[in-house]
Amino acid sequence: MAQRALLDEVPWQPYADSPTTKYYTDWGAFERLLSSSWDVVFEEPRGSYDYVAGCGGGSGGPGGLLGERESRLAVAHYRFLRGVDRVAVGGGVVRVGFCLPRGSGWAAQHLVVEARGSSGVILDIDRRGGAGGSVVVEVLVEPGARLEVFARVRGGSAPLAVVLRRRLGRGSVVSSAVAAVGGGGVLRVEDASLLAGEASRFTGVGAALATRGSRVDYVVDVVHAAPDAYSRPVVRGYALGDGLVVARGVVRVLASGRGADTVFEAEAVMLGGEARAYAAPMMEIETGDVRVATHRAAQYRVPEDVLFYLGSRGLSEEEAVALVVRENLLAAVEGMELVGGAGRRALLEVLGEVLGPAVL
Amino acid sequence: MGGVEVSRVEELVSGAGVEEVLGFAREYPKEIEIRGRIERSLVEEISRVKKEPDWMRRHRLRALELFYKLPVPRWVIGVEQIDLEEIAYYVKPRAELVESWEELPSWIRDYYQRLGLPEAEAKALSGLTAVFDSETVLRRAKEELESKGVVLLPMEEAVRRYPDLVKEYFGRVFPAAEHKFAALHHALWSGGAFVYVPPGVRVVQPIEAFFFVGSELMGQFEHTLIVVGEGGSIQFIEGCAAPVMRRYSFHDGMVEIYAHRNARVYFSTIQNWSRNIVNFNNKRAIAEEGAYVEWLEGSLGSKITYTYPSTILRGRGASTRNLSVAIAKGPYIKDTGGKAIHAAPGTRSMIVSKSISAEGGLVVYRGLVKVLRGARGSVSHVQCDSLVLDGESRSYTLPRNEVDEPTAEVSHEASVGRLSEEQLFYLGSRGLSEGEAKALIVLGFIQDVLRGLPLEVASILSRVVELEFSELGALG
Repeated sequence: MAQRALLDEVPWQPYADSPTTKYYTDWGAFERLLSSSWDVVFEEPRGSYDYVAGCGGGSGGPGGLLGERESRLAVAHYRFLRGVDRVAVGGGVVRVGFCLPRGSGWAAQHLVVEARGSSGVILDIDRRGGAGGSVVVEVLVEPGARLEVFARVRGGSAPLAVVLRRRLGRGSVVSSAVAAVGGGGVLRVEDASLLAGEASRFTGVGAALATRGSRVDYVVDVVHAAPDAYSRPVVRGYALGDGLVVARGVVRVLASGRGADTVFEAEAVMLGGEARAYAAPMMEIETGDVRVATHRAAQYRVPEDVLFYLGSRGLSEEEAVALVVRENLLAAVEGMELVGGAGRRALLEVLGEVLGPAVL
Repeated sequence: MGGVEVSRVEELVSGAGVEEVLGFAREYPKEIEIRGRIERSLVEEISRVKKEPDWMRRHRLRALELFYKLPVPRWVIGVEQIDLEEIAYYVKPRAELVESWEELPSWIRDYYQRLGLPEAEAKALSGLTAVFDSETVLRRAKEELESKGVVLLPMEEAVRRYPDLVKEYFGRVFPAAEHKFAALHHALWSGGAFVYVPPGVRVVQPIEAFFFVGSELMGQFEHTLIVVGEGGSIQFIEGCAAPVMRRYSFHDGMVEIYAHRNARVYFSTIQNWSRNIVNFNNKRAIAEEGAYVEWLEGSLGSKITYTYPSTILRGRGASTRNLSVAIAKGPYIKDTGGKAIHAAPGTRSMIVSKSISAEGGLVVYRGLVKVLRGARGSVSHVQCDSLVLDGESRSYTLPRNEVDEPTAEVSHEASVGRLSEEQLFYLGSRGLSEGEAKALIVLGFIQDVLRGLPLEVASILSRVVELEFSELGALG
């Protein structure tokens, strides 16, 4: 009852995203999901995984990185959550699959990953044909740990919010690559990292593909809360057909984050005749004591000279576009020793589904 | 002239700030002062005092209704400090509109002489209107303007003498419904300038409007409307000043520009309000086919400033450039930026913003580039850089680029940096004091903007920067 009351009190977000577009995420779709009757069953995922999460069980507690009253999304998530899964990784690579919730209503799933040593995590979230709702993954990285994370997110026609929250301890290093593909509905990805330990390092590439009819809003959030931290967040959006992709986020350097070194890039490529691409890389610097703090954004279509060159080599325009997108995306997993191979295969699989066999 | 030594504009800035030149606010005779709750009766009284036609009275009342309905924007930092019920919304000084400096009352003339306006007008301007509190007190126009058929009038007079022309544009470029403070402006506007440039006419020397707030707890709501006919061109300069006050005052001005086909409009503002002014600026232009609108914004003074000059590129091939420098030295906020809306094919925009914060200041760049579907082949570039001079100061960069047209190209770059110790050491070793070295580095930082300015404006801005930053002590 208290959570139901909270749902009425807490807004989706405190104010509009821009003077011309009230909300980049279509919160109306999530609002309608909240109103529908709840009747969800969880189905085991196909494929081979070391751990399966989000099946309606799970006896762990949340990791503390997503506040219960943070937003209407958080309130809804905790209201409908049936259990929290926890997995510890301390060397090697762990492949985690998520159950597919079927039925109607808000389906919430929650995983906490505790990382120590040198390890890799591969996350596979597939909601095609499934219910909408929320998936929260909290990653707690111990001081000195090195972690590679690859996540593949496939949305369906129902609205889905995927919230990734990472907390980096002192001297820890995290490399991340996330590929999020819209499935005709609304997909919101929140990719947040808190650099809480001195000299922690984060590099991350988020790739968002808005297929025909999809609206994908990829939001990066990096907070430098400790001295001498380093971050290189990159968001690349691709809008196909009449899809809308938003590549945005905020890098915050708090007063305690002196000596910060951060470069934020947001890029969006329009690949369809009615495609739309929005980019908003923001920075909030609370101290003048920063080493590097820059951001850049660009929105464009595949350059004519590139298409011409590839055309002269015998490729059709579709094939040329597929090739350019493929090479761009595969670069996201370059240098990832533990998860790069699996990540590459997962990316090619999803690109093949979206762009056709030409990409393979 | 009242025994007061005439100052040049350079001497204004060499007084290390407008506060030192103008000193503390002094009492002066007021003919009318209307303050209190913002109600229908207050708006009706303002309209009555101005002897306005009924259509303007009704415009004000519609805006008042919108003001009641619209919420206070929650993203605006510092707005909670304003108590709208303590402000005087209309203050008419005891002075009539005159056309020569000598006819002004001595207490008004004194302020303008300290600011160097008579000299500037004589040497470099083709026309000038001066607004004191809520009314225009001086209008001067050189023969060039009159012979070319250029209309330069106080806004109220234009409403009476050219109602059809004014009605066609007033509130159409920046409507009252845009946000709460735009609605407040439309309900309470007073003072300001109307400029009409006939087709094909190029006004060689700039026209200036100067706005002065003389009292504390006063609201100034001047409205400037500039209409430039096909192929015409004009440069317009806006200046602002106020003396030191114990309490704050509130400025909620508006500029609407309509640039017809192939017109060129250059609009410059050097804002150096004293530190107790809360300054809202609503500025927007519409550019038709082939037209060009340039905004230059120098935000130097005030307690808090919000200004986002915008251009709607409505006609094919229209273009705009938006250059701004914002300085927040001390516990002040400069929330500035620019917007470009591409609504036609082949349109181009460039926004360059340089901001500097020091001694606990906060600078915010807030921008929007929107490319609507159908604006084929449009191109936009935004560059916003911040220089944060010490550990206590802050900088936020909040751009948004929304592209609905796949053939458009939009790019954005931004950086936040601080003074380099190596640069300071190097310049120190060449004999510069620390303050001089900082001023030089800051000037280099804003070179991109200075290069695009008229020479006299660039030299004033450079001088202000030199004086502001040469006083800074050592870091840490």
